Amino acid sequence: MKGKVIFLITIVVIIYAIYWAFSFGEIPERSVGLSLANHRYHCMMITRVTDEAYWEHVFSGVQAVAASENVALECYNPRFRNIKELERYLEMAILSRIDGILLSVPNEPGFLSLIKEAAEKGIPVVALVDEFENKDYHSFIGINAYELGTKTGKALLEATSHLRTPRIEVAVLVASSFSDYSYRQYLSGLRSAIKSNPKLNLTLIMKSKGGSIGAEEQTQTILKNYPYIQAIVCSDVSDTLGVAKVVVDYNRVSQVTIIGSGLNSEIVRYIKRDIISAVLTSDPYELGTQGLLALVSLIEGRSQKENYYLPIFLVDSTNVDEMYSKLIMKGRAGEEGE
Amino acid sequence: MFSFLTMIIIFASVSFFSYYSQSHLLSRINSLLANSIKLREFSSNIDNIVISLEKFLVERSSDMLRSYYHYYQEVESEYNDLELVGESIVNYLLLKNIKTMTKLFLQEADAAVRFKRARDSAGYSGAFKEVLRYNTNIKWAVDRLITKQLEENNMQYLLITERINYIQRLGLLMILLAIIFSILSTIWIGSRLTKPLKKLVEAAETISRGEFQLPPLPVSSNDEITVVSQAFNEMATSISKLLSEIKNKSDLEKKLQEQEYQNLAMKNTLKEAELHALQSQINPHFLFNTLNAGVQLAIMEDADKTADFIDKVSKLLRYSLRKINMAVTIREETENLENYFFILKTRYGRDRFDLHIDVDPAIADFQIPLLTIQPIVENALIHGVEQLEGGGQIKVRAYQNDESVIIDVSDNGLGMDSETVKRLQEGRKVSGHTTGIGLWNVRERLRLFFGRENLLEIMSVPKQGTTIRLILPKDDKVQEVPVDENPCCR
Repeated sequence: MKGKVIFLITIVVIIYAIYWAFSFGEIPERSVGLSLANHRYHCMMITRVTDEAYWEHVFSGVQAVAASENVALECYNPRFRNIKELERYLEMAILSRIDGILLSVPNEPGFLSLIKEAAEKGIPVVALVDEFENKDYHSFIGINAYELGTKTGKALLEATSHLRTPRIEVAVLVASSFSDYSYRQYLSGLRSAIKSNPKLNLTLIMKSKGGSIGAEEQTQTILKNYPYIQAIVCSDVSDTLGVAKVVVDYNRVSQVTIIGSGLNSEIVRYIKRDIISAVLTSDPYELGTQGLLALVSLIEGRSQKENYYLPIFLVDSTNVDEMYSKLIMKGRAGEEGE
Repeated sequence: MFSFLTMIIIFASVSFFSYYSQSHLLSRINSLLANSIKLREFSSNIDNIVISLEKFLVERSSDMLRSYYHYYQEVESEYNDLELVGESIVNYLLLKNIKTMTKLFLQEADAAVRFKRARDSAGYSGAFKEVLRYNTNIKWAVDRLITKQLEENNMQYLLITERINYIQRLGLLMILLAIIFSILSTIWIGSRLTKPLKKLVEAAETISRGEFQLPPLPVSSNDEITVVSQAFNEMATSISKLLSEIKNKSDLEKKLQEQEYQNLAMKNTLKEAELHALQSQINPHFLFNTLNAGVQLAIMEDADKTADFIDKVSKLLRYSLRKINMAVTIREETENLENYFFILKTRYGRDRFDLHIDVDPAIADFQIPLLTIQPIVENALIHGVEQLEGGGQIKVRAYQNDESVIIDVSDNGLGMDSETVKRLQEGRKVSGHTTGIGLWNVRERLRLFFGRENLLEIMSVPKQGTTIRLILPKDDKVQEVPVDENPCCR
């Protein structure tokens, strides 16, 4: 009887060990929940990731739509600013005659010609975040640069209202990813917003070099060469972080007002410590979902052109926690739920 | 049996796991290498198409065209068969891109050849540019696919290696468990064998010490030990039974010896009684004849009283000479008593003492041993009333209750002190009148006759008298008193 019991226990343990051993060691597939054989469309998403946290939520939104719309999605998002690599992906996508492209790359001439080629070959392209100069060949889902400029200007007015100096000198660091068109629109919006306060003077307007390190370098130059600057305005998340770090390093926190862009945990910390006065941001998850939905709509011929401007939210010390949980944590929860 | 089966399964499983994992890993690496080689060859063939095409376009050589078609056919036949090692979504889509680009690459290359043949230089130039673009992108995509597969398979390799390590650890654990299991099994089997043997040895030692009442050895298994244990149990039971029989026999023998001892005691008592009788009755036959002659002489001389006296004496003697083991009725005993008293009265004078006999007629035929009452009456006379000047009374009363026949012999003589009464009551032999049989003798004979103790009670008050009470059981079977026959009493 005892022997039988030991025998049975051994068999059960061995069966469990077999199950465990065979189910162990397989690579967990990052599936988007689609059947490869039955996907409807084959799309590619090529993005240059500037802020990982922000883009993580964009990918969550894209993948959620890909799963529901049965879209096979190739995602290429090199970390570093290698234009050639991005161009290679885009060219491959065009030569492979895929069904659609989601694109968020810098405004470079190489991309413009490829986008034109894609349009000629009937491959719809949806630009995310930043518009390209020539708007004839692509659709756009992202922030309206003019609106961003306006809201930034209003935030600047608010943040510098306490200053009693006769002039308030402002430096503007425009995002490197902005096309010339967006650049102009942004500054136009900014100027129109601050014209109510003649004390505000856009002393220095620079196009950023891209990336946090570049922004740090530029901020150091600004603070050294233009010590009278009282406010710095940024339109990119990396620029905002770079500026904030240097302002802290130079111990100029109370002297320099920062109006930034983008929202992540680090920026939340800076806002709570009153290093950054306010930031403007959009909902990254919505950017992802709207982007792919627009692409699917173009592929299916339901529209010829899609342009969708995301709502822009002002985040300051009064609503930082609420907005962070609404925009960032929501996307994370959605991702976990999938 | 199950233990060994379990061990075999454990070792087989460990070996199987180890073999499976290693062969799986090897086959995976082989597939990866084969796939990489195939993709490289494919990429090389694409290059060869471009080279041949370029040479054909420049030189318009038929050899180059043949070479072009050769590689073209190779690529055309193999591009659809390209496969992945371990499918992932990214690689699947990348391979799909490669296939699509290859298809379009071949179309562009074909177009270039056609344009060349049509001498359309702008056409073949444009087509060749496209061919070069496709070539660059296909090669890049193939490189990327190989790299991605290598990356993923590296991960797979690491995971499988981890699994092999796990299985090896599992195997080690199983071997360890098997060793522990074997040791425990050995101990268990050993104890299973030695435990009953130890019990057997203990039981044997117990028996050797003379303790035969021991519980049977447990018999649970089905082996030789069980056979030995069963045999031992049977042996122990037999020994116990035998001992019990021997004990019973011994008890019986003891009882018989006791019986014999009692008989012997009875014989002694009888012999003593007989000795006393013989002492007082010298040559009874001669005496009878003499006394008969005396009776006849007295009758002839008309001396009736003398004749009567001698006759009574003769009867008394005759009664006394009956078999001492013979049972007589109370009536016979009292008749003899009357004779005896007649003689005594004649001897001592009629007024000195008197005898009253009162017997319940219902018990007149109750049997008692011969000469039971007469020695008591004799005692009463000698020790009680003989000392009185006159008026001595001896009363014999026989009556009954539900259980017993009671005979009281009372006198109004001197009585006894309590010490004497106690001594007599305890049944100690008292040296008394040499001519009487004695109270002790009566008590012993009654005990043997009725088989009970305490049949005689003595009540005495000094200077007032003594009562000897015989309490004789009614329903007891009268025991035959074995005695030697007395030839002189026939």
